[in-house]
Amino acid sequence: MSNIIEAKGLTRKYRDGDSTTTALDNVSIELPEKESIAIIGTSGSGKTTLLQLLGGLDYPTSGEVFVDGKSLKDFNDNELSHFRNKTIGFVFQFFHLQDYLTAKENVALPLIVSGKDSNAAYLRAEKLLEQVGLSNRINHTPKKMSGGEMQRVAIARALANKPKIIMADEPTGNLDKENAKNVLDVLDKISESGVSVLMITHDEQMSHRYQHVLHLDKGSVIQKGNK
Amino acid sequence: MKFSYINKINLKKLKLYRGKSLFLIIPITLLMTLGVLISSQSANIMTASEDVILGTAKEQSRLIELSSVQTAGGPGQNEDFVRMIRGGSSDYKTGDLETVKTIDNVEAASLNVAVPIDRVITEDIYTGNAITLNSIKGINEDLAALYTEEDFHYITGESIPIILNANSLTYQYEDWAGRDEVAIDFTQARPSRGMEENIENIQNNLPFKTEAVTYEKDELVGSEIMIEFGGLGDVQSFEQEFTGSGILFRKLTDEQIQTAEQERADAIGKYWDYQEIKTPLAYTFKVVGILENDTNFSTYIPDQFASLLVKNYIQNQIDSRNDVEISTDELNSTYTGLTYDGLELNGGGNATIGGIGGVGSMMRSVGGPNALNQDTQQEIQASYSIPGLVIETEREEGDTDAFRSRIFGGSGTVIGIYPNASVFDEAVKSSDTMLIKISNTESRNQVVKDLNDLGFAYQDLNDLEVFSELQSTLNNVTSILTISFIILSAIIIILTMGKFVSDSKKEIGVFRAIGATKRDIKQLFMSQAIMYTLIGYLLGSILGVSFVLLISKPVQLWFDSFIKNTVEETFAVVQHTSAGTFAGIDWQMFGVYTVLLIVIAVIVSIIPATRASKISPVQAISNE
Repeated sequence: MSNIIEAKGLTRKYRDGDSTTTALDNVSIELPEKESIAIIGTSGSGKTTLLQLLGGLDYPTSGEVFVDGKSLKDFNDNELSHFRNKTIGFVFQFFHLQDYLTAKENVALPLIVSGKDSNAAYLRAEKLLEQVGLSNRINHTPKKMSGGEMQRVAIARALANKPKIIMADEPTGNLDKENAKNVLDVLDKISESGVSVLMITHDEQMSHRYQHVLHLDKGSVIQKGNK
Repeated sequence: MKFSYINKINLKKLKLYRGKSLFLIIPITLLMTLGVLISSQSANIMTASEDVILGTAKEQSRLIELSSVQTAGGPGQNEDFVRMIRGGSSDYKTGDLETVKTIDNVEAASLNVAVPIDRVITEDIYTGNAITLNSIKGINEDLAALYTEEDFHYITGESIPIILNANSLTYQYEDWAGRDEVAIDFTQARPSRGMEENIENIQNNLPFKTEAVTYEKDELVGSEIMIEFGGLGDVQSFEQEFTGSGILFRKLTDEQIQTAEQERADAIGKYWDYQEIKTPLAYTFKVVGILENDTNFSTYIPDQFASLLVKNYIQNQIDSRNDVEISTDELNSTYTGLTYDGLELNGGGNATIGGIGGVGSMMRSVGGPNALNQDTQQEIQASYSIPGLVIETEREEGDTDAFRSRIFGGSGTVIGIYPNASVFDEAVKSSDTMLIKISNTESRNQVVKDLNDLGFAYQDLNDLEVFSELQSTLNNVTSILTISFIILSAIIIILTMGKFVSDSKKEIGVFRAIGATKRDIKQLFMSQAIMYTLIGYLLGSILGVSFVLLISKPVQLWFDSFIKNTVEETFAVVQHTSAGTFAGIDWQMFGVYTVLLIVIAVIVSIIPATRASKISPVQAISNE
């Protein structure tokens, strides 16, 4: 079985004036296809940096990322955009829905960005919203929804292009317990359906939900585990 | 990403962030409004000035008014007086006319011949005063364009066009200041004081006063007035005596006046039907213009009518004659009038010394032609000016005493009453003004130079400068406006779009994270800039056009007053503007602004859009 994610010796340094900060230091990670991983760490541990590198949003100072067997190094900006669009679905802590678009339109956005016809995209969006239990919110704008609802819309958006992996950055960080549980349940279901989930969290409890766990501290891996 | 969806996104943003969007839309709307408004109105003003000034100037720049009067301004009332003193021999004659006509590019030239009629009195014009008109001249209708834009064609049976002269719009009255006698001593006139001052002294002392009539030009122009020609006025209410050093004016009693009236009726009734000769000819005129400058003192009527008028004037005298034979001795002594020596028609009309309250005609009517030569101790014989009387005299070659000839007519031997009413047409014309029409404006300088070379004094005033100044001002306004338009719209787009981009970093990051390319982001923001600019453009166009229409009337009022204050002082005639002129839209500039705005929006929006496209997708993840 091949790996959906394979990264070797990832290091990311930031220049801040004269000094250099090492956000991530020589991190390697492997995630087999259709399996999920929780990356756990406190704030400043480098977990978000790792997600940016794995998600093709940022480039490592050294090291290499393979997603779905492809080295992200080989992609130019356009190809990388295309790759993100097709292969990865992002879920952010602050949802990042466009408040001028309805739930349906937000969900359809990755399809539309890839050049799909908007009607076909909306059909798919409606289906996805149904899947996350928001068929009654299809034409609502984010302002009229609760945090949990918004995050479920964001998850539906992440699924729009049938990605191979969902990368979620503290998706419950901004939610109350009940909504958080809802969101995690949805993500579990996704994981069960064969889509890998890469969960970034500071919550140790989450590790139990995923096959793989990676503990980060100060930019380095302090513990790796498999279920 | 499909372009149509990019536009859809921007429309949705516009809907949600209306307030923010207005930061771009409103300034563009204002710019476009001002652009349309100012460019259209300056074009309208340009058109109007072309109509008014150039239209006027174009017509006028083909015309030249030569004047032999060298008095250089001064009150019009003194014109004839001054000319009389100087001899007045500089009148243009038919020969001069022929000379001028030989100049290249002179299309037409005509002498504006004064109508030789003594008494020309209007009905009440404006302030309840009848006015005596001096120096009425016939003018060719083509050349009349110099003074009026209205039709100057004489049509039988219709009211006759007339161009009044403000200098003539005065009325005379007597003011004896409680005295019965007023003595004027010419020996008190001192050369050291200058002629004008001496005349003024005499005028102040005289019981005959002149006052300018106040009138409203707009009301007077277009109105119809009745004017009487010839006839006999009231007998004068005073007598005068030459004292050797001057003149003594003495008021007459009512009885003396009655006696004088009876004497006049008896003397004239001997040879003419008194009632008939006493009755003036009357015609209705339509005022088509008023000359208000210091260099022209004439009133103009169509030359065709002038000819007919004089014919009727003389014919009336001929018709009034009875069968009683009149001796040649009495002609030009007891009975005076015009003289005709077979060549020139003299006397009458503006030969009077209008400048000192019509004293000239008084002197002549009482003093008679020989009075000055006679022993002043002898009783002065009464003489009567007979309207329409033409006395035929023998022509004496070398008789160039213009002073005498202007006041008393020819000095040759009297032959008798000239029986032909067409004498005015037959006589050699002379005039102090000659109008010249040039075949085209470009030849004006050459014609002026040729005129000067031939000895005709003429200096061209560059009237067109007023126009070119206004035109260059308006051109500057349009240029500055266009440049400001470009700079301001560019700044507005850059600043507001820059702000939009800064505010949209998260959004851009998310778009990038979910797969939007740099090109998508660039398009997203360029489309936003262009769309909002176009909305501003549309609103501004509608507002601009509306404002042009709204303020067309005020602009017209402003323009009219501007013209009144500036150009009307330069030109005798100014064409009028129509309200529609100021409701015009400058579609050419409208098109220029449209293209400019679109080009600027496209080019300038590249800057913020490129900045937007460079925003890293990491922005989406940074949890700030």
